[in-house]
Amino acid sequence: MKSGSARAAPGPGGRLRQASSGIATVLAYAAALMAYGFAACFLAGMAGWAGRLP
Amino acid sequence: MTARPRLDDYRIILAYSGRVAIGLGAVYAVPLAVAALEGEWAAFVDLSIGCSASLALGAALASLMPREARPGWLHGMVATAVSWLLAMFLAAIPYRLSGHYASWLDSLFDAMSGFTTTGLTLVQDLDHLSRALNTWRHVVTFVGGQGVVVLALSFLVGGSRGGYELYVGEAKDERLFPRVAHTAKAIWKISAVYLAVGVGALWVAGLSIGLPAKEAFYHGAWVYMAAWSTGGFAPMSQNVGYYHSAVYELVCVAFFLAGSLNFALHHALMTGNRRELARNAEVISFTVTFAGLFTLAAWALAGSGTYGGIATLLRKGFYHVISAHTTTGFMTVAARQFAREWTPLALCAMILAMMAGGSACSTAGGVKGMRVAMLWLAIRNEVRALLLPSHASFRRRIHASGDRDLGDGVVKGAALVALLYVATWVLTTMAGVAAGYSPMDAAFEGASVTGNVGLSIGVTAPGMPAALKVVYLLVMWVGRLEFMAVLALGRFVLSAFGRRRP
Amino acid sequence: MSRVALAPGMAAAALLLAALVPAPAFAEDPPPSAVTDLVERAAELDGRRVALEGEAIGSPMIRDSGAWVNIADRSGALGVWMGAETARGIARFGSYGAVGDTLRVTGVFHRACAEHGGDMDVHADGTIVTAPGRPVAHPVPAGRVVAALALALVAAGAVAALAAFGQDRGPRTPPPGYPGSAKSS
Repeated sequence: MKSGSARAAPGPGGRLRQASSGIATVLAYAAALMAYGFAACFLAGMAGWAGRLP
Repeated sequence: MTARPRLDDYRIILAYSGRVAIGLGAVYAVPLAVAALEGEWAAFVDLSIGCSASLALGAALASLMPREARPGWLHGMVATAVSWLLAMFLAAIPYRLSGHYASWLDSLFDAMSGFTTTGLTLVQDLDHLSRALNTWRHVVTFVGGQGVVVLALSFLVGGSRGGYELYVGEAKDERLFPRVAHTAKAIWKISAVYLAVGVGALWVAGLSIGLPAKEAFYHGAWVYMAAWSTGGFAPMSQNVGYYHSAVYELVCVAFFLAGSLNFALHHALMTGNRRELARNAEVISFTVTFAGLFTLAAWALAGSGTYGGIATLLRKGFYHVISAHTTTGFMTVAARQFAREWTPLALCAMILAMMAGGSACSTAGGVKGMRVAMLWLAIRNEVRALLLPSHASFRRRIHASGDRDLGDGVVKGAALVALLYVATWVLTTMAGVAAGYSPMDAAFEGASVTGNVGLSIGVTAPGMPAALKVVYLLVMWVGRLEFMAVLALGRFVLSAFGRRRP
Repeated sequence: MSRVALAPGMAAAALLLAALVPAPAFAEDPPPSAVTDLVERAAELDGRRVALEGEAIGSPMIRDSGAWVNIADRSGALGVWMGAETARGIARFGSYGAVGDTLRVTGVFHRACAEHGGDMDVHADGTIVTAPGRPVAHPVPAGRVVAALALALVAAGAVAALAAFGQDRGPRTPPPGYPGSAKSS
């Protein structure tokens, strides 16, 4: 599947595939944000918890 | 000022509002079906009264359309502002009749909160609400979210010089209404695909956390509608905290994040242009502001000892910051926990996230990533121009579903709307302080109202002063319509009383 | 500075209280707290034994090692983590059609439970039903039915009239002289 300007009308099956690939892309973005969240919790959390130590 | 409106202008505006009311009457079919299916006849009667009132009033108003109607974009904008108000009154009828709201004002507040996809609620004894009325609350927020996207992509196209011009190359197109139908169809298609996927996913998640099959389905449908529309209503008084489940929260995040993305972006992604995600100015803007604000909040929450481990920091910190930034408003803590346990720094990060908001042409509220990106790029361009020799020139562009010129007019529009948001937030905060709430509480709730978020620090409650309820209700309306439609209505009303000019 | 001056007095009061109120030991259960009290005094009560009394709402959610039952009193609702068998023993949960069993739960309160992703909860070790739930009927007021029917007739008439005599949309372009039509030049 070519991205960018290649927008030749796909068949019904192709359209379904494209739609699900669109959803998958959004879910991947969500997963990336969560992965970032995990890393930030790890690093910022460490910094924060370390700062609390007397 | 403008020319004084003619009788036909009033008739066109009322007729369009009437069409919206008829549409609302049709939407009532969903909760009515649930009421019939579940045998909730008391709720059925209440809903049928709301439905009939919408259809009757809608038909009466729609019949006012003049034969030689020539609707322009100002008609569209004024009709939008009027429609939102009319829909609020018509949707509030079954709320008031149900006995779950202390007053008409509370019912209207909830209806406006729903249509604006805010999610603040004044409902009482939510845990004993009928399935039909719960369905209605969530359908209202779902329809409100879809409606505002249609509005953003179509009504405002002709007139505003702000961010919307970017999306629609034919910004000069006068023939708005065929476009509305076309755009609305595309939007409903995208939403329908996500509806099927989302309800299915939440149904499975509900089953996996131990909900009975039927409950899991209803909860899945309700929570999905609130997530996709970045609304933030939930069927139980504990909001998403009712489920006590990381899986359920995770699925919610995926769908309210999807709902906060620009529909033009969804369209690009669903037609094979997946690279748009990484290049889109709004996605970049959201990612950067979210990453920064969440890091700040995580540091503050860890440093204060509010959350003592990575898992709790993720499930409480991450969840609420992304819920705030997408302007969803799902919560898994009690409202007062923000006030009692979150540090001022973490709350400031939340306020900024709520004000920044999601993408333009999405169901999200707030200033919006598009304007944040534009203002950032504009500042960068100014600095760049400062350092170049005076005769040198360069292209000022922004990428969002195609490269667009970032001219002075566009930047001015973005800056004005951003300024209006901040001013509204300041005034709303002052109203809260005047009503006796602490500045931090008032600022948090004010940002939640202005950005149509729905997170609460405990200010919004049935017992709050009625005047503050009215202020919040109006700010939700103004913030949702991004000022332009309401300002158009204001100008229209003023011109009606102004001096007649030839 | 006044805080320092107050401190001895507060300490004395605390000692007095400690002498009067039995420590939250297993010997006697504390009096039931309202959910709002638990929220407002969460830091203070964190990790201590509390009691709360309220209606079981929604559905029990049975998980691998226990079950969640959400309990609501007049002030709010809170999740209670209990044994699956205890949860199965609760006959009725609050919903539109029912008032749920009233439970009196004793257990350890957590402000942000490390075991449960930071949820505020109570891990119950004692759960008793103090009042059974009951079904709730929602009678339909006759007057409202009549009003609804009348309004439905009016609506049907109005829609039919619009469909029969209503006018279709006008031309798509705005009038030349209308304010705003020149705006999008």
